[in-house]
Amino acid sequence: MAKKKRGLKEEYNLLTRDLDWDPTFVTREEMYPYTDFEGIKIHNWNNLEDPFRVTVESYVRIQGEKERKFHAIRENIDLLQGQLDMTDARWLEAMKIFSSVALNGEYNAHRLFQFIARHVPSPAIRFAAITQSVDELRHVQNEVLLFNNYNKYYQGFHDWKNYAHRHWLTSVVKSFFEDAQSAGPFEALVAIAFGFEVAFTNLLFVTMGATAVANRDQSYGAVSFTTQSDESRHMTLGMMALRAMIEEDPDNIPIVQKFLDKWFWKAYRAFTVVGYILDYIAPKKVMSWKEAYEMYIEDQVLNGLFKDLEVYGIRKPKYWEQTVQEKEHNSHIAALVLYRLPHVLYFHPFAPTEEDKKWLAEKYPESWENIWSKKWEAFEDPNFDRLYPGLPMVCQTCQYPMFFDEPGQPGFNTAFRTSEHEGEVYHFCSDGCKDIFDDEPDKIKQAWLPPHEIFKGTCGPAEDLANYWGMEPEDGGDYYESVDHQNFEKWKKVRA
Amino acid sequence: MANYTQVGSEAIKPIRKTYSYMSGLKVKRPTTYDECTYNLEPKENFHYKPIWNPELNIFDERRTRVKCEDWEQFRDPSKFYYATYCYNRADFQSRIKGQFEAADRYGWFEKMDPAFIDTVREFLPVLRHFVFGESVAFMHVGRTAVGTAIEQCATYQCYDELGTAQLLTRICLGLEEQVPSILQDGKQKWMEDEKFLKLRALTERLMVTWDWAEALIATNLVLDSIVYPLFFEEMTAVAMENGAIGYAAFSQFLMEMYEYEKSYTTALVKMLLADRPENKEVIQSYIKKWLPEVIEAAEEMLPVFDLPRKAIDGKLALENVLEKHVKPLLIDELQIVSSIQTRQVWEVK
Repeated sequence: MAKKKRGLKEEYNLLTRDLDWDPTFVTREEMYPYTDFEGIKIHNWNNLEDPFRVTVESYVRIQGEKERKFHAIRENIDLLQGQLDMTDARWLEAMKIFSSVALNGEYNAHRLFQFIARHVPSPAIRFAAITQSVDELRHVQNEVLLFNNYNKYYQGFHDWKNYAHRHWLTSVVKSFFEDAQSAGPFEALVAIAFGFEVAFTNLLFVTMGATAVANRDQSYGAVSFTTQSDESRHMTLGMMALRAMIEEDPDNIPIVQKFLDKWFWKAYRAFTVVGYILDYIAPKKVMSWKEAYEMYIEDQVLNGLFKDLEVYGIRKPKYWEQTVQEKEHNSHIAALVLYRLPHVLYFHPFAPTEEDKKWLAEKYPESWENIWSKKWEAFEDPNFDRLYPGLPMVCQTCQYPMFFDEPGQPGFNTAFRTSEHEGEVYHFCSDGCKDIFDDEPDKIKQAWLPPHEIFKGTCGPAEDLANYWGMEPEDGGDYYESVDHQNFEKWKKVRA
Repeated sequence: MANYTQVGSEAIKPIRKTYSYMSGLKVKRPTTYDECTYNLEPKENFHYKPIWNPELNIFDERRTRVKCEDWEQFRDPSKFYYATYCYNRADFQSRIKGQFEAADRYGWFEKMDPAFIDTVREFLPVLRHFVFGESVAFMHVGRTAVGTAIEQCATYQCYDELGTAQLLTRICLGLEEQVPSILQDGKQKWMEDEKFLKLRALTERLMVTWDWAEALIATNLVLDSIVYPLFFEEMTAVAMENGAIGYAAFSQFLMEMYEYEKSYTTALVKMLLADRPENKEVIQSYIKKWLPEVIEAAEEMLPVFDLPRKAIDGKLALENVLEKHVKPLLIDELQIVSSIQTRQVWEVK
């Protein structure tokens, strides 16, 4: 008898979803206790298509090959002091920010996708999710190892774990991932697989990756390209899961819409710092935040993905118009505020050079001359006291300092929203952040807001804060006065 | 070239070797494994309580009854991090592929003794569901275990178990020529056959065991330390007696998976026992709860040993498993239990 002829799909089913069964010794509720409370209705879990077909055999083989290449590059960079190939060590300020937030983000995603794999009772989603969980472990480990190359020579990397969990600025990203970690499995899936991966990671690994290459930073170049090769799988999972929820039941639409509204806004806010990296930190600039936003978010997400979802009754995420308006402004706002905080940062902020300014004027014809260049000029006044006294007040939801402007009034009018809950007043940077709170006040009120905790005394004595954050004295201060800058210039000459 | 790098490294000295928090790991010189494993798990300043379990934090030591002063000190004896795990398992998969090629070339499946095929079809396709169930249980273990080093092992095991379920499926597909409905029959047996009901009941219970250390220990020191050697050592010996190389040739892969689980779990239990005496009682309670039931489940499955042409007494096979694997591990090495009893119907000599 001849062997059965099977399609790839059928064979893949036997290797994955056919392994599953309906339990009889425990109830479905005991087996999947968190499947129903979010209100998402899935009538037939078997309708869900596999996002991609990877078996354990092909996974370890393909990934093993990728790893061999990656680690060879990593070791080579270390051996040949590849850090000195960079055009300018100022680029490392971007890497300091990245390592202090992304490592923790990747690690949280690793654990979160185990939760999703366990609690979404679809074998198709389960296998894709557990594979993503293993990928995320890859990303955090590779980044930890690679950033140690920099850590050996420069400040601002040596205690990323404490920066990530204790510093006031990183709580933006820490709280983003912890919001997803503490959500139900479906919200978590939309938050990370769609909101983060599909909508925003291109900015992180394509735009920033290209910028790293332009600045001859082989390390981040290597990390972003090898990471991106996994991200495409993650994006497929995000799209497939979203479609499945939308298509299974019309009652799911308003729930999914709410997830999308929340997580698009949260991811958008969290990515503000990427604008600062592209427009200010990068010594050689590839693309402005505005251009990147237009290409990856406006064209691909708002006018691309969301256009495709319209037929299902899904509309663009709330306040998307505001995000488009803000693309002219927010990187400048962040740069201006961070510039005044060199004493409480683990990286080195700086004022734009003449060359930077020329580029900014070119890229932001509408706002640079009229608004932002004037703000920087004001800082040149000899009587200007650069150091911002005290700590910034932060938004209850996104946890950025309250530095964003009223929509349509850039540069002149800081936006300020409040909500009252159980007799307490909470503060927000925007309508988007206020709405998220108003929808889940009992969750968002729990936020561990660093300035509040510092005043409460949770973080130890105020004079010892830098130590609590894991900082060494050389971590902070202006880039052009830093040890990093001096060493880089010196070493570069030695090697030349 | 050598000269170039030497000159560079002399003039440009690194200002530090590794991350400052690595000083918390009690090792002489951190290795690559240590650097990318130690202290990744968040432990403080959590923003929100999980909506699905508001009593506990996102990462919380209270998700198990065992306690430990510093979970992050655990080290996997295999020192697997993502890269070395992938290298190891890619090599492992190449060996499996080679074995399938040999099976094709020499007709190991086609020429298998019909009585032995009837033996294999009785349990092998059933076990793919069992292993998959363990994998699902380990998604929870991976999510909730404390400390990066421990959850990392659980993550790899979870993925390994999926791989094992896929390997078992592929072996069954190799036997499809002889038994076209092998997979469908297997699933039906898993659901209905009395021989396997007890094992399935335990698997389902394992999947809802929310104390991660209990699930880990029950799987790796109890369930797998009986099921794996029973089918992939004792049955393998029977296969050899019956000339069924096609079966025997794949058993080593299953046993290697079991050995990985066993090695890191043994190291973990030793760390916990050394950390504080109260852990012994907790771990004993896990073993006392699971061991008699797993032995009972194994006894239910013993009739499959009657099926081969040259059969052996299944009780003898189970006795061998207990003597060669379970007792040396639980009584001698870990000293968690003092004796192991089977059901009254027969006596272990």
